[in-house]
Amino acid sequence: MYRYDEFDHTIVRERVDQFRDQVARRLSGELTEEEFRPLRLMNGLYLQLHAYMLRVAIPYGTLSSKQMRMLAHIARRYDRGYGHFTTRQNIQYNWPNLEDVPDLLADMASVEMHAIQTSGNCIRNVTADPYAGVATDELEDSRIYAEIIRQWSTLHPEFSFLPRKFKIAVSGAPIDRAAVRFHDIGLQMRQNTRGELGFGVLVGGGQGRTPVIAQTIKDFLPKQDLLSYLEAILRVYNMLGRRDNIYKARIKFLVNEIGRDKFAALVEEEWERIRGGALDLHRDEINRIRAYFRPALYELITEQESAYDTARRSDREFDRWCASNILPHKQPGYGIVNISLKPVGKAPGDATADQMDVIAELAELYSFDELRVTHKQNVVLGHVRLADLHSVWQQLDAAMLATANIGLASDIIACPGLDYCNLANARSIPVAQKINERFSDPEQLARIGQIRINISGCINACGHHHVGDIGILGVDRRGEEYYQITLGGDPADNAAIGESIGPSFSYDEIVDAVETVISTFEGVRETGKTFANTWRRVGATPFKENLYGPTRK
Amino acid sequence: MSKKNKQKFETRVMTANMLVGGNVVYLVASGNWDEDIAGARLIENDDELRRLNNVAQEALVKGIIVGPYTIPIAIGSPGPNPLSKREQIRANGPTVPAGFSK
Repeated sequence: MYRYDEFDHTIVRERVDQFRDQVARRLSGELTEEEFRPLRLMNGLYLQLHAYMLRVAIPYGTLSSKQMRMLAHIARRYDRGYGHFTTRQNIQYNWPNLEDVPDLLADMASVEMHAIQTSGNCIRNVTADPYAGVATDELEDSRIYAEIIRQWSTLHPEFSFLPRKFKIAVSGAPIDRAAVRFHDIGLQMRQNTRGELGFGVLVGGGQGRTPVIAQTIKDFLPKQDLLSYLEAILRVYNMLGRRDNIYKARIKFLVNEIGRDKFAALVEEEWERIRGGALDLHRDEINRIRAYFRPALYELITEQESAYDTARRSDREFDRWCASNILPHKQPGYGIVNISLKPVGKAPGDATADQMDVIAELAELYSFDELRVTHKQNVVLGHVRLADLHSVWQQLDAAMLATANIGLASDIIACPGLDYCNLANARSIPVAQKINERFSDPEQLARIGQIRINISGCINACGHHHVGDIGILGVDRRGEEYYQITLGGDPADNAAIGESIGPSFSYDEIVDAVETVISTFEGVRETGKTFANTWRRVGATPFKENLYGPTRK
Repeated sequence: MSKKNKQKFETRVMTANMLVGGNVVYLVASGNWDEDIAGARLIENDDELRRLNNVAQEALVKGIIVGPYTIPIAIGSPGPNPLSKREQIRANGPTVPAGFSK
């Protein structure tokens, strides 16, 4: 994985020193809250319901064991012994003290991590396919380009005060696992007729209160033009994006207002002016970054992994875990291990410091010292020998990390909601927990199959409810928590925004309503079909009838 | 902000977050800020509201607290109980998971 060079180190250390001085001046009274607030937000420090919250960037979700151990250390030393992995491949700490944050950030800097650009109207942490570099269908490791974009966008002087925040996702595979259609810019690697690799460029996607599916503005962008083209997009947005209305300031509104073709033409015009200049990505530079993401030194495994097969046959729970949590790896004899952070009774995405240490240890011992955080709030060990899986599973199990539910009904995406968040209208975590509990029977989970249940505690949609098969949106009705259900959302290649199904449900009703949706699905599904298939076939009617009675269509 | 004449004054308390810890606090009778809403000073008329707003402004300027505002409450048996779910959660900490609450 990428290692900081002297420039990276300098930038991050200087930022820690600068923030230390800003905190000291705030505490001494030299800075007022109005003056200090934008400064702390530039360093990822929010003030939430109960306390400060620090959001730390995990670039494209990749971590070393050493970094994961540092996250554990920070949780113990500066927080309450746990952290929350977010839907943007970041980690949030919910309880730091203001005066401790400079020391915390200095500790982070010692392992090449920071909280820069995790808030504010700038280019945020670039996200990528969590299976980058190991997926069987991949054209190229998307993290190479995510890292190049990270370097270009970090403290980019022209783009530090955009009309609004800006999110970029990169996929290196034809199957989209990075939700590129729901980002301000989505980059999807593809091959042209000459066999060269480049990017399809999508613009103007996003969730929030106005969900929009991104539109393609360039079918094939050669790699060497990546940064100049991104710069052209950002420049057009920076000049024309609205600054008078925060709710209409994201790039999606600009693209919709002037139209895709006009927007694309403006980008093209700007791009013609700057392409071939300093931002040209030369092969040497791509190779320099690529070297950091070289494939691991895999063993050539030719013999049958009999120990693995035997363990699967003899240990039913292990077999079940393998069936849901292990994905095929491009290297024969290896598997991609998904560690679920969604056990019954815990907040989705939370991990204790001890669990982080266990994951770090397993990554070091079994997965080339590297792990990834997913936007579904789970953790991935990228490359584990199949022969080691049983042992890894046992160690995960001992740390309550072996829940077998990846992609299933209890693998719920949930934002922090009203339990923590200042913006939330309703709680997300206890709703997720109650659904998780309701669907904890492994046979039942397997029977229901692949389904995305996503919960947001407010219209800002951090819990990705718009793209859930079942989306749940918390709303406030006279100070009480209510939940709207949307159905049929899809974050990936068949991108769709969920359709609101009817009046909202109270906190006490919502879990039963979700169960009704799922039992309706099971009643009308054809053998082997997923919820998404079934929704596309039957539409809303049977769900509405079962939720609200036959008279309400 | 001020409610006039005939309208019944909605009983409120003053809340904020501490500058250093970020923790939720309430303005109590002694003029201090305390995490426990039970001792929060009740605001039952416009004069009191103005007075406590001034106290809060002073604490804000001194860098003791940030973001002061008032919340409507009902008088319960242990003390004031916020009317909104949001403020109930602010007063009592996250509702889940048990091990992590206030």
